[in-house]
Amino acid sequence: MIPSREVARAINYHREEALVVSTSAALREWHQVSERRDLDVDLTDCMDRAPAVGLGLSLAQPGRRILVLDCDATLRTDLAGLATIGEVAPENLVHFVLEDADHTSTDGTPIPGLNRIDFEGMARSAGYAHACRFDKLEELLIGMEEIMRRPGPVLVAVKVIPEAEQSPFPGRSMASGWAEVRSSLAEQSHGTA
Amino acid sequence: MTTEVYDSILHPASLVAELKKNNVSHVVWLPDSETNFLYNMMMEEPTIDLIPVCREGETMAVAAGLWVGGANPVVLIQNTGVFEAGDSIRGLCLDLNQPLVMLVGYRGWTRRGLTPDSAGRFIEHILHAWGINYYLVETDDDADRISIAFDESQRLNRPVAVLIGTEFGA
Repeated sequence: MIPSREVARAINYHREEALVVSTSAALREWHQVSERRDLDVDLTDCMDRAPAVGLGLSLAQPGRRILVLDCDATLRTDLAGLATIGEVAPENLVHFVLEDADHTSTDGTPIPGLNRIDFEGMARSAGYAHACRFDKLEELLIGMEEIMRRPGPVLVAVKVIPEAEQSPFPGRSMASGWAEVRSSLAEQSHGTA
Repeated sequence: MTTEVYDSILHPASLVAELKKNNVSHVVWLPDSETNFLYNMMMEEPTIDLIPVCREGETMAVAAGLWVGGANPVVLIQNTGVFEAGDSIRGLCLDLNQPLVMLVGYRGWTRRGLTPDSAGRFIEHILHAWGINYYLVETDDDADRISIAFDESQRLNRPVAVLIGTEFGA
């Protein structure tokens, strides 16, 4: 298993100008390491909707990579989202799913059947262009470059172990964070027009 | 008589013309039997992309992502889908001040006011509860209310519903 903070660091290292949609326990780690908060779309509410928000962004911003940092527990509550992404098939979307053995999102309460769900297999059958799984940090670090280069949609399942002490959610509100991203994209759009 | 019946429905062309007039970029929708005719016309419209989803709650989230990314989407669902999408309407439309026009098929609508369909009985109460304003569109003559909804949602940064109280004509 890979420390979840290390997964966030690896993604941050490779993101470049990508927009990042993160949710739940993934967001708790992500905002600690992200160096481009102006391009981060946080979901501290409606946490199961990260893949759908990412899909919308991928269609509105086809020239950018869109990275969705999802969790097993949140994805489980809206598995239909895999089929929606598979059908629309945005090439610029990478969907990371952090599989958390400690069930951080439910404060340790186990979710029945969660460990039996094969997100990688589901993504493939739903129409994702590629799906893979990592449970060793070295393999993830080696694989990241190819993941970021592949035509999507790509699903990357990662077995993680959370930090000993749970990080808090970001201090900025969801509404102000989204407004910041909108503003940042509009400025960049005007700058290139 | 035939002409009167033909004229008293909403034709897809009227609705699509309103979407074009308001520069809609994407229609996020759950395919259903009521909007078949609209589907065919939208597919032929090069300026509008259709994004199909599996569940109505996803429509609000996909639209939210499109909006953050600078696009101008609408959602097209049945009133039953508004019930299903409730939490996303709350958390992603209302709380984020998203200007979004929701085109909502008004299942159970009848001018007589008597309907056995609970979807028809509850929808306006639900919209009232959330403070979401709405406009009823039954025929081509009402289609300009869609532009009123666009104007209101942009001006107030809020979702506004358009209740389509008829099946589409061919």
